[in-house]
Amino acid sequence: MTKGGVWPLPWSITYLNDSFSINPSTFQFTTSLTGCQIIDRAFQRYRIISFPGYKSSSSFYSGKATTVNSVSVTVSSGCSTDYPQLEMDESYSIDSTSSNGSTITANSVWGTLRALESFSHLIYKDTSGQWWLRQAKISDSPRFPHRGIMLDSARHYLSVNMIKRNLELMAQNKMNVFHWHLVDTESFPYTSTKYPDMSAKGAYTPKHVYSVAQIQDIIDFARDRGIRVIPEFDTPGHAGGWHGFPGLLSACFDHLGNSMLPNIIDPTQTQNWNFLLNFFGEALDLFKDNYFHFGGDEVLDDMLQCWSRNKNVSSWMEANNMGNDTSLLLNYYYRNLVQRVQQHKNTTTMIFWEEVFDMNVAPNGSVAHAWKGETMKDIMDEMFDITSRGHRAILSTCWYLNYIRYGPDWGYINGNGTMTRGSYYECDPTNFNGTAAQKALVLGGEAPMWGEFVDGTNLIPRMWPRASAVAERLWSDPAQTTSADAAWPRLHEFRCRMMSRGYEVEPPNNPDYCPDFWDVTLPDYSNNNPSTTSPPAGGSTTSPPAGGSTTTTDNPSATSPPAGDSTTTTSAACSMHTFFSVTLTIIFALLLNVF
Amino acid sequence: MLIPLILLGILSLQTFSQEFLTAPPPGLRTDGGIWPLPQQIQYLNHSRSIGTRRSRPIQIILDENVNDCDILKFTKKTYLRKWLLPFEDEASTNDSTTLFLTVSVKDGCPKSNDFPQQGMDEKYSLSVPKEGNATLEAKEVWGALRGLETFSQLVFLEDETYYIQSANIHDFPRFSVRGILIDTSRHYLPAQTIRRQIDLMAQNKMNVLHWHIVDIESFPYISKRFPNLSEKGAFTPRHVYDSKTVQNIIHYARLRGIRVMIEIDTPGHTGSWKGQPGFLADCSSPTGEKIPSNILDPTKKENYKFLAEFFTEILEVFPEKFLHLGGDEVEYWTEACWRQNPEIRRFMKLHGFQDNVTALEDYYFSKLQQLLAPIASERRQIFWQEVFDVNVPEPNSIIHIWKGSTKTERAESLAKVTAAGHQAILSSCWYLNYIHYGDDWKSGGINGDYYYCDPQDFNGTDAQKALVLGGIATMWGEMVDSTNIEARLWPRASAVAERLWSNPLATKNADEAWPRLHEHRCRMVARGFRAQPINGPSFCHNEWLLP
Repeated sequence: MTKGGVWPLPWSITYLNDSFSINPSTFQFTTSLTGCQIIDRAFQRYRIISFPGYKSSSSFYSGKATTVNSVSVTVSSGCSTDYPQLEMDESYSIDSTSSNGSTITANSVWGTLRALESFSHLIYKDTSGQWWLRQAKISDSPRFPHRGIMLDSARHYLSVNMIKRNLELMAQNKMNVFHWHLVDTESFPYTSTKYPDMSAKGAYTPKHVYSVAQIQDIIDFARDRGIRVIPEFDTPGHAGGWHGFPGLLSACFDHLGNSMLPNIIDPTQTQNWNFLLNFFGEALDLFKDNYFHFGGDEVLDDMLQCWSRNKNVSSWMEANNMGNDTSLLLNYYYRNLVQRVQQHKNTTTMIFWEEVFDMNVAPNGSVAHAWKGETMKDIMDEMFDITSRGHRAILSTCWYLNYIRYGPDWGYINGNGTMTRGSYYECDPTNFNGTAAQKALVLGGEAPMWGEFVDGTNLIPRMWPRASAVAERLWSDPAQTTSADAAWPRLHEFRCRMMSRGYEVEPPNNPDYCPDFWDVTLPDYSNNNPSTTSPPAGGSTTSPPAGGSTTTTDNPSATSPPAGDSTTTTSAACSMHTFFSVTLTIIFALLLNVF
Repeated sequence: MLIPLILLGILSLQTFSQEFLTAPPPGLRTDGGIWPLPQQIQYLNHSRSIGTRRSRPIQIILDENVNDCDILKFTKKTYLRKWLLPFEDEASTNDSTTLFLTVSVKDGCPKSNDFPQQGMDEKYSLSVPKEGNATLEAKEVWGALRGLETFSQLVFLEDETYYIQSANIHDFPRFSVRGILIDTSRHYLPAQTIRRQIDLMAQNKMNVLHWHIVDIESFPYISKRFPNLSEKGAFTPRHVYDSKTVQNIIHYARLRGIRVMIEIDTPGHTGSWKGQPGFLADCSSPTGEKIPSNILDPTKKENYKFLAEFFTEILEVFPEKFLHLGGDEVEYWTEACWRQNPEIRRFMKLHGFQDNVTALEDYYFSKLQQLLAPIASERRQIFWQEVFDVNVPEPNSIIHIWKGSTKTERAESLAKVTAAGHQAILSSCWYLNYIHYGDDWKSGGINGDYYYCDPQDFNGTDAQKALVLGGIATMWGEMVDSTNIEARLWPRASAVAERLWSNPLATKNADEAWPRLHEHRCRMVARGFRAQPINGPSFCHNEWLLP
C-alpha cells in the first residue's frame, strides 16, 4: 500500500522523500477569495474527509518532525455561481514541499475542487495515529472532459441519500458526470409538474419518486462537487413506464395478435407531440446541463410489435407514404423530437445511444454514446466508425459494472465477451486506428450500473472501487498507467481511504486489509442535510383491505398466501404482467424451436 | 441497457428482462408468506388488522415455566422492538385489536451453560386463528425461536396498518445442519458484521455458523496460551478476536438458537501460524529457493504437544460439540514442503514411508486423533472430504463435501462417503462467494441453481441418505469483507436455507417460491439488513436508505 498516493494518478507528480507532520485540529484551509460558497463548503468537507476518523480529543505529537499548518488556495478566475459544464477547467497545481504552508493554484473553482481532493490524498495516518503530509509537487488536468457514472433508477429505486453517497464518491474519484437514467420500462420515478400522472401511475409506489425539490437538491449537491447531472429520458422505446399519459404508448401485439406490454411511444398522434414538447420543455428547464440524453436504444422489437402490428399506426404510416417501413416512422419520430427540443431550448446538445446515429437524424453536434459490441475489436471498430463520421463520442461498452464476475475484474479478468470481460483498467476509449482529429472527438467515457440487480443495499460496494479503475483511465496519462500491478498499491490505499471516510467500498483484489474496517456506525459525510435524504412519506397506491377483511384464494390449503390482496390495483396489474410474461416466454420458446 | 438477446442465446432470456419478458413483475410478492416454507402450513384465507404503528399490535406472553428464560425474554424483545417490521413505539398500550401470542415450551428454559447442539429440537406448532389469541407450542426453546420467526413473518404492513394472516402451522427442519461459513482470515470481519449475519441466519432458520477463523493469510484468533500466534499472524493488532469478543459472539448466537462451529484447518492452510516457532515445515521451490510455508511440520514431537495444548484451549472456548479440523488441499504443499525438505525426507525414510507423502499425511492425522482422544471425547470431528478421499478419517467423523465441478461428481462423493458409513455435510453447490451476473439463486447450473441443489440427490439407500446431516453455504473471504458480505450473502443464502429446511416436494419451483422470497428479502431490508435484489427489477415498500 502506498502512503500519500494520489488516485487517479496526476499527469505530473514529484514526491520528495520527506513528509511534514500535520495537526488535524489546527490545520487551516485558507483563501483570499471571500464569500465563495462552493469553496467554503468544500473547505468544510475537506476539513473532515482529509482526516477520516479523526477525533478532536486525539493528542498531537509532532516529535522532531516539522509541522505544516495550512494550505493556501488561489483561484485565478475567482468564484463561480454557474453550474459545471463540459468545458469546465479542471486543471490545478499543488505544492506541499514548503514548511511555511502548502499552496493550491487553479484557474477555476472546478480545478480547485480537484486539487482539494488530490491534496487530501497526500495526507495519511501512520500506525501510531499520527497524521502526515507527503511533500510533493503536482501539476494536473484531466485527459478527457467527460468522466461519468450512469445510475438506473427505474429498475430499482435509489434513495436520494444513496445517489448523494455515490456523488460524493465520484468527486473523490474526480469523476464529473452523473448520467441519470431516470425512467424506463419498469418504472417512472421522475415527477413532472405538468404531468403529475406520469409518476402517479408510472412509479412503483408514491414513495418511489424524485420530487422536483429532491432533483434540484441532487443537482446542487453535485454542483458543489463539480459534477454535472445529465438526465436521460429514453424514447421512443424503453418507455413502458410512461403509461401515465393516455395514448402516449402504442398498443403492442405478439405474432398471434395477443396484447403485450406497451413499451414504445406512438408518434402518429398529434396530442403526443404536444405532450412531448411540454414534458421535455419542463425537464430541459429543470436540468442545468447543456447536454441532455435522449436515449434511443433497442427499438427493433417494439417497432415490430407496437408499430407494424398496430393497425392504427400502420394505417397512419400508409396514409403518410411510409408504406410498412417502420424505420421511416422512427426517422419521423426523431426529426420531430429534435425539432421540439430545439424549439424549446436551442442551446441543448443532444446525446443519443449509438443506434440513433445509424439513421442520420441526430442534429449536427450531437454526441454518440457507444454501448454495443461483444469484443474489444467490436468496441473499437464502433468508436472508429462513429468518429469517422465526425460525431463526438462517449464510450461505455467496456465498463458495464453491473456485470459482475468472481475475482479482481477491475484489472485482471479478461474474458471473451462483454459480459465476461473485466479489465476495466486497460480499456482505452481512443485505442482505435483513427486520425488525431477522430480521437479528439472522444469526449470520454461512462461506467454504467444498470439497475436490474442493484439497489441501495448493494450499489456502493458493487460500484466502488471497480469504477475507480475507470476513473483513472479517463483522467490520467495512459503512458504512466499501463499496469494494473503497478497501480494496485495506490488503489489499495485509495480503497482504504474511501472506507475510512465511511463508504462501503469493497475489496477488489483478493485478500487485503485496511487500517480501519468499514462499520455501519461510521459517520456519513455526504449526508449534509438529513431532512432531504428520505423520500417524502406518502400514502400507498394499494388500498389496504378493510380491517378483518377476508382475502380470497382459490386453494384453501395452498402453502403460499395470496400474492398481494387481489382487490388492490398493484397486484391486479402484476397478475396481468405475469400473464404477458408467461405468454412471451412461450412465444420465445416456440420461435427458438422453429429456427 | 440490454445486450441484444440474439448474442446471448437462451440464457439471456432468463437474465434480461426487457418488458418483463421473463423477469417477474417488480411488485409480485406475498403478504405474510413464510420463508423457509414450513413443513405443514394451512392458511385460513383470512387476515386481520392488528393495529397501527402507534398502537401495540402484538403482545407476547411467555408461559410461567419460561417467563424468566433469558433466551425467550431476549427474543421477545427483539421481535417487539426491532423485527416485527418494526413497531415504533413499544410504550403504547394494548387495544381491542391487539393480538396476544402465548408461548409454551414443554421442557422449559435451558441452563445458561446449555448451548444449542446437534439434536436440538426445532419443532414447533403455531396457530393464529381467525379470532382470539394465537398460540405457539414447542418442546424445546429452540423450536419456540423458530416459531417466533414464523409468527413474525405472518405479519405484514399495509398503509401504516399491521395485518396478520391466520394459519395453522406444524413445522420442523428437514436437515439438522443448516449453516453459513464465514472466513475471517482472507479478510477480517468486525464482530458487528458477524453478529448481523447471525441475526440474518436466525431470520432464515439457519442454525450453524461455521467459523473458518484462521488460514494462510491471517491469524486473527487471540490464543490465551499462545498469544504469539495472533501477534505474528494477524494483519494488525486491531484485526483480531479477543476472548471477550469470541464469547460475545457465541452467546449472541446461542440466544438465536445458532451453534458456532470453529474450524481449525491443518495440516495445510497454516501459513499464518508463524507465531509458533518450528511449527511450519520449511519449503523450497523446484530450483531450491526458500518459499513461504503453508503446511505444518508433522515430524516434530513438540508440534503435537503444541497442538494438544492449543486444541485444549479451543475446546474450552467453544462449547459446540462439532469440531471442524479442516484437512483440505494438503497436496498443494506436500511436494515443496515435505518431499523437498531433507529432514522430513529422512523422517519418512526412517518410518518406512519412502517417498509417499500420503503415508505422512496419514501419520499426521493418526497423531492428531491420538492427541484429541483424551481432550475431545465429547466432540464429533468434521473433515473436508480429502481426508476421506485420500486418507483415513476417524471412523465416527463427519465428512464435509466441497469438491465437484459437476452435479455427477458431487453425487458420487455423497454416495461414497455415506456408503462408507460416514455422515456428510454438503457445500459444493453453495459457494456463494462465487458471484455471477443475474438470478443465480435459481439459474446457472453448476454456477448457481442454489435453490435446486438437493443434498440427498444421489444414488444411495435410505440409510445412506439419512447420513446426510445437511449443508453449509460458504462465503470464502477472498473478495468479501464487511463492506459487501451482507448483500452478497442475502438473500442468496435464503435459497439454501429453504432447501435445507423445507419439504422438497413442496419447494420444487423457484418461480413459485419467488413471491415469498421477495417478501422475505423486503422484510430483511425493512429490519435494517442489506438483502440485495436477486431476481430482476423489483421494489420494496421500505427501501434501504441508510449507509
